[in-house]
Order: sequence, then C-alpha cells, then structure tokens
Amino acid sequence: MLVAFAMSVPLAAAVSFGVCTRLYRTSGRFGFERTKFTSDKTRK
Amino acid sequence: MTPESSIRDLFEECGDFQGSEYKSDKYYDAYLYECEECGAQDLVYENEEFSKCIYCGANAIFKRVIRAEKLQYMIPFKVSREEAEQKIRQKVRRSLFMPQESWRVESTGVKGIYIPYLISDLKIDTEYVVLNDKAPGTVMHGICEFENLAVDAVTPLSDLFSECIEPYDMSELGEFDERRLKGCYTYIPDVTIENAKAMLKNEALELFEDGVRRENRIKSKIQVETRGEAKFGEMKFAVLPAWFITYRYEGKPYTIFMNGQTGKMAGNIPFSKIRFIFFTVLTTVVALICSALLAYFVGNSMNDDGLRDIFYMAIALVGYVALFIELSEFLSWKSKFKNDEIEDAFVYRDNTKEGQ
Repeated sequence: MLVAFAMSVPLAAAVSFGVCTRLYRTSGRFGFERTKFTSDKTRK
Repeated sequence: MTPESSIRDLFEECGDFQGSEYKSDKYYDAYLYECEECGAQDLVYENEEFSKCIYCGANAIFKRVIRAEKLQYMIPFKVSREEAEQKIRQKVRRSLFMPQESWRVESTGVKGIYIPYLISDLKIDTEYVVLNDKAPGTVMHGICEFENLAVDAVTPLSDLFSECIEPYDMSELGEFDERRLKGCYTYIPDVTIENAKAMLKNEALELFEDGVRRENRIKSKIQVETRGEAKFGEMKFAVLPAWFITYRYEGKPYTIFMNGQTGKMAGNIPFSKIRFIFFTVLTTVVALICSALLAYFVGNSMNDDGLRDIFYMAIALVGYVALFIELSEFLSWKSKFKNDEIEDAFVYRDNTKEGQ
C-alpha cells in the first residue's frame, strides 16, 4: 500500500495542479483571450 | 444647487449655453461628470442624480453640459440590460474563488456605454519572412486586405479591454441616432485620424500575421514588412455598445464589461486566497486518495511482482510527465497574461498629463 501511495503522488499532484490552475485562470479575471477572425466582413 | 440649475449656470458661465433655443443637427448635449477619487471624466447622455465612475466605481460629481458632435454610425444594443445583468450574475456565481459577500449588484447596477470607434477598409501590400520553421528565411508575398476594420477612438480606455470584448458585427452598422444614447455613458473621440490610421495599420498587420500563421500552420514567428503605403478607405466614426458594471471591494475597483451586441464578456472580480487554498488542499487530498487506491487495487490484481513494479513505475512516470505539461502550460499562460496588464485595463489614464 505504501509503495502504491508513494508512486501515485506525482499523478495526484498533476491532477490537483491541473484542476486548480485551470480554475485559477478563470478566477479573478475572465474574457481576456482575444477573439480574432470571427466576422465574415473581415478577411485576410 | 440642483443639477438643473447648475447646468444652466455652468453653461452661461462657459458662454456656450443656448438652452432650449440650441438646435443643431451636428451636436447633442451630454452631461460631464468627474470622479471624486480618480479624476476620470465620464460623459452621460442624460443627467443623473447619482453617477458612478466607469473606471473605479466611486461617486462622480456633475461638472457641466458639453456639446458633443454626433458621429456617423452606431450599432444599437442587441443584448438587453436584463440579459446582461443575468449573464454577469451567472458568471460571478460560477466563480469559485470569489468572496460571495463582495457581490452586491442592485437592479440598476449594470449601465450602458457607447464606445466611439474609427472604422475603415484597409489594404496593405506585404512581404513576410518565416523565422525558425521548416523553411526558415522563405520570403513570401501577400496582400493584407480588411473591410470595416475598427479601432477604439478614445485614449483613456485601455485597448486591452476594448480588444477583449470585440469583435462587433459591422454589417449591423446603422445611422447615428442620439436618442438611443439615452441613459448611457459615452466618450468623446480623442484620437486623431493620423493616430487612428497608424493603429488600424498595426491592427491589420497583427491580424494578418496571425491569419498567415494559422492557415499555413506556422508555429514560429513571421516577420511582416510592408511594401508601399497602406491604402485606407473612407474613415467612419461610429459608437458601439457595451454594458459595464463597476464596483468596489475592500477599496479596490472591479469592472466587468460586456459587448452589447454579442454578449462577450471581460472583467476582473475579487479573488479569495483562503477559498483557493482550501480548494487546493481538498483537491490534493481527494486526488491522492483516489490515485493511491486505484494503484493499490490494480497493482494487487497482478500476480507477477515484476509486472506490478513496472506498473507502479509507469504510474509515477505518467504523473511526472503530466505534472511537467501542466506546469509548463501554466507558466506559459502566466507570462502571456501578466496581472499588472490586466488590472491596468480599468485604470483611468489621463494621457493629457503625460509629458508635462
């Protein structure tokens, strides 16, 4: 059990870090990713 | 002194008051308010008993009535005030790390604003060089052509904010009608045509570079050079709609803006460190228990000790790789959106004081 626990620490850390940073990115501020090329009127 | 009498007095004092006789097709009256705290000047179409500053949410005091020149075009609001308020509320409620006591929005909290824009068609002849890709140094030729490219024509408002709630659908541009400004905030455009042209050119080249990279699947940077002068079409002034709410929490201003045509939102909201730490600890504990139990039961179902060791090592390896990917992704995001830049988006910038 101890070996299983020790070996799964990096995976648990990755999951936890992934979830928390994704939530952190959308908290405090939102909508700051710029949208480009959505209008038919704008063409390259 | 009532607001109405002060308006009259100030107009007479300024010498440009013509009261009810003042009729012009070129101008409309707008009420100028000045923020008590940050000094920003807010322009409202109608006189308001209580006005809040767009930038910091503090009280703004009525200063005088000014004559604002009518612009040529406008896009009216498509998103209603109720819809805007509902969407903002939903967005805020979903914010896990926001201190809930900070959110006090009254029914009149969301206000409309018409932002002046300069719009023009634009054509630029370009040469671009691909840097550090499969075929580095390749010189290519391209025509960069846009219809109805728009840049905001007000300097106190951060470009970062306006860019984030764009784009607007310019096919809905209609004639300017000042009656639609009723109850809304607005700005007087303060960008010269020459500056606007430079901004439009930069915007076009940036969008062009982005488009070239995307269509040709170029991951590296490209260097775009112009060949000859940019050709502009007719320069059109227009006001485009947005909803906004500004409020203060623990002395700090927070603002949320929404595109009044498409409903696209951008804003900053309070962040509770305590909530974040609590959630992080909780997630880590749950993830640790789940992954340890999974590894234990799957590992135990294996009869071969060697195979079990390989399985445990594989789990650890997958964990390290995932952690590395997540960390690099987070650091890349962090460098892209520096906190300072975002917070500055809503700070009043008095550009007239620069260089004095």
